[in-house]
Amino acid sequence: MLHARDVRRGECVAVCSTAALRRGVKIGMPLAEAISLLEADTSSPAEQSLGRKRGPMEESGLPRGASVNSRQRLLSEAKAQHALVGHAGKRRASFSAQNSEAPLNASHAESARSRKAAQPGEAAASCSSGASCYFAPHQPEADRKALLELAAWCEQFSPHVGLEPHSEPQSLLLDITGLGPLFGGEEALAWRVIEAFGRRGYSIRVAVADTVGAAWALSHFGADLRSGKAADALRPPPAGSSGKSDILRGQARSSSVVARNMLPAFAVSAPRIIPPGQHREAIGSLAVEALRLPAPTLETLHQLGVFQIGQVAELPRASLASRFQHEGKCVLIERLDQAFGVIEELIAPHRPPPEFRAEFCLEYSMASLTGVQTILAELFDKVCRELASVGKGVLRSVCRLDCEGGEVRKIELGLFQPTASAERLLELAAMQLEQLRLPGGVGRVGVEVEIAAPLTVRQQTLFAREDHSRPRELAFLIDRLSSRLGADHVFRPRLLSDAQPERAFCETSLIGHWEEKRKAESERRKKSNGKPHSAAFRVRFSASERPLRLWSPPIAIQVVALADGPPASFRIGRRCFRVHRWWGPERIETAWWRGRSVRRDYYQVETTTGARYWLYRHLRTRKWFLHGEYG
Amino acid sequence: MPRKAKVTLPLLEGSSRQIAATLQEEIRRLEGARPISRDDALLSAGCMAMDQLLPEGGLRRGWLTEWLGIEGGGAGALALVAAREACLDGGALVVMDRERCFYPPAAAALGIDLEATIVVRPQNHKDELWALDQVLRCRGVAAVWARLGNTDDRTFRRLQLAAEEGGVLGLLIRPDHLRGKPSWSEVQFWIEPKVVGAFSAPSAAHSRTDAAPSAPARVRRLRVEVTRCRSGPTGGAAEVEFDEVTGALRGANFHEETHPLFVAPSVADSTAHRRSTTA
Repeated sequence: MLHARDVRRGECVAVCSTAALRRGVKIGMPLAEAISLLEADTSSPAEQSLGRKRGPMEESGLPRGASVNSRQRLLSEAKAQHALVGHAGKRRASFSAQNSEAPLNASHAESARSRKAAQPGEAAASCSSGASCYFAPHQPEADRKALLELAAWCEQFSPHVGLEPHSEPQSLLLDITGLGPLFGGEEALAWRVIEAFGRRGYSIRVAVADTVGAAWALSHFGADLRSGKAADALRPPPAGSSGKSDILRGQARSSSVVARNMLPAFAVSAPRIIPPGQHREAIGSLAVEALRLPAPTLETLHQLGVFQIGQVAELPRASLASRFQHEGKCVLIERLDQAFGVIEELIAPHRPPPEFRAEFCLEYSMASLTGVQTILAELFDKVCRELASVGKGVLRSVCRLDCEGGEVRKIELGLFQPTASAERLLELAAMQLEQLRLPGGVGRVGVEVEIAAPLTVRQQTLFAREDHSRPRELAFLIDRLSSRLGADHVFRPRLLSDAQPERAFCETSLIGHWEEKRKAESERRKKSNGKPHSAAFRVRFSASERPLRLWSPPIAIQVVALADGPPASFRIGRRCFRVHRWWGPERIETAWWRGRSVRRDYYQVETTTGARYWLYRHLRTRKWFLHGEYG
Repeated sequence: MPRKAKVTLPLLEGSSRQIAATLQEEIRRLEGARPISRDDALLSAGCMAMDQLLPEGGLRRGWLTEWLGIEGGGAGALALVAAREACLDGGALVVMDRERCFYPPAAAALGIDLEATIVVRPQNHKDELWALDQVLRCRGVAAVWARLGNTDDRTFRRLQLAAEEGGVLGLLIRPDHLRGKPSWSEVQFWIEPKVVGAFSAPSAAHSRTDAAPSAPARVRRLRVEVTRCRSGPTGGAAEVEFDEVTGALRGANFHEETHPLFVAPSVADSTAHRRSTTA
């Protein structure tokens, strides 16, 4: 169950599993009410007999009351996380993915860990009655990010991958027009996709149809084929298939069996493939919810006794247009026409196609990094010549190495200033290549320029002065540091207006934001009327009020202090300090709008040795923490 | 009787000052120090009291300097003030922050221009040394401020050579237990905080507001001693203190100085008069 914060009602249910829905939980219900519903429900004997096996979910800080198997069952019935909608005449594949072993998404594991660190015991306390449930805050942005990552990974199956057109997409759309023969048939392609996701811990539902709407409907509302029937329900490959497809079929069969053994309670769904031209009949018996309609339209249809798509298609269109208006247009007719193929629905790619790219396919895979470096040098040279001809340079680039087994390794290069120098790009790529472990031989090497920016024009002088090379050398240094350490580890700090000390500054990345930097610089020049930006700036505190080192998180310490008074002595680890002088308290009360408010009384203390520290007393818990030192 | 070896002294011409400069250069050359380039301007170490401790009256680019002291003792703050002076001509300051505890608002209050500051957060010691080496070799950097623990001589020597090549002022804040250990730095400072005032146990009778007249002033006095200097004598010491409002560094006997006072513009007022130089 995922919860999100509502401004008026507090924490409410955002997403929940089918099992929770059966127990009366509703989307939008206050979380406390949902918990009480689940706790009040008596668990089934099957669930009670499940063993207490310690699994990965438990290690991530989840309530210890639940067992691994019951969690897996809950996840298997959870709302579909991702759906690959493919179709075409154009054939597109549609599938929905459910993460079988890992938490619902990566963000949930992280949030569970962070919650455990910040509020120890809270996750366990929420299920103190022993109910088999898992809670995590709903993070739509993290879900979207994970889905985008999967979309990029799915490019190995189709060059056109897009997200479902929704504010919180949960499906992936693939255009597999003409790709079936490359994989030995559409069914083989679908099983290959299922296998690949299965290796990543996802269980997916695949549907292939002529239209996006039909494939989406089948993947979400098509009949489920459970594990016991999945192997039996497998259709034999079409006659005349090549030996390659036989191998794929064999692999598909074995992978489905393996998956079944590993996750006995988990469903492995066979792909639903609709032959071309038969999608209208295939989706006619599905529920109207499969048309992706807004809630008011669905409610009206149910009131009229219309529950299936076939029934909607039989209604007169003129009356539909007048009766089912939502936000000024008839979404019902639009969705119906999209599902039946009357209107073409395009798949918006998850990322814009790169403008400059170069690729090299090897006849035989190569495991030597030196060879890969040589190929990269040629590709960089080609791309840089194209860029230089239009006066642009690389600001952000991705090198893609397609390895054996479908594994893809990427080297991301971000630069401080745009460059058209192939040597410089190769130097940065070589730095990352040294630390890269390839899973196998490389079959294809590709270079794509994600962001290109105009090159800065530098007039050549007769006598080269050192001053002109300093900014360039600094830019080279930033590129090298970012390439080896990571773009997130090299930044420029910027002050923020926030009373909470740890939020009083932010980290501004130096890589790949050349245009934003130029605009900010020109705006600053306009505001200062052309005067050079001076070293002076506005600071809120004097030099003696804030420590030079701030620990995050603050360190819990033992303090001897008078009631509500300043500290007299404190202990950090095994070291004891006596306070010689102190200043304060400085009370900071803030962040009530972010959830739990921050209420601290800060003291600056000077010990008998002359060292200065910044301590605070937490006003709610009355505990003391060491936050910084004036080093 | 053994013959006495003949010692031939070089013939020195010129005034005594020129002779002293020539001899100093000779000593530096014998010690293996980098010859002084006339393009390397002297950099202030933060205040006149500290500059006077140094043989040339300041720091130079390409020097690796060490700032030793106890935790919370002010060594980092002093080094940051020296970094501020080095960046006045527009160079960038690089802060090596492996421990992820560098606090920019405090640095800004000390006068550091955050627009010209780059913070680097290596994830391990090996990456930290590599990054430090790269930064010290870059001519676009004016100063690098880093906390460095135990390091072997070979690595230290490599950093020293990198600083000489790049012309970057290296400011390494190091723990107190390394005092007396061999070093490749050009100058090593030992910073010791001075406890001002008699000890009195805090009591609940103190007013909650800090603005009460009885509240102790936040004067922070430090004793700085030069424990190593390749080009000059060691052992010199001075007491400096931070202005609690502006963060400016001055000698403890500041009334004898005429060093310009750094004042943040948010505090400065065009009608304010300079503090009297007499006590």
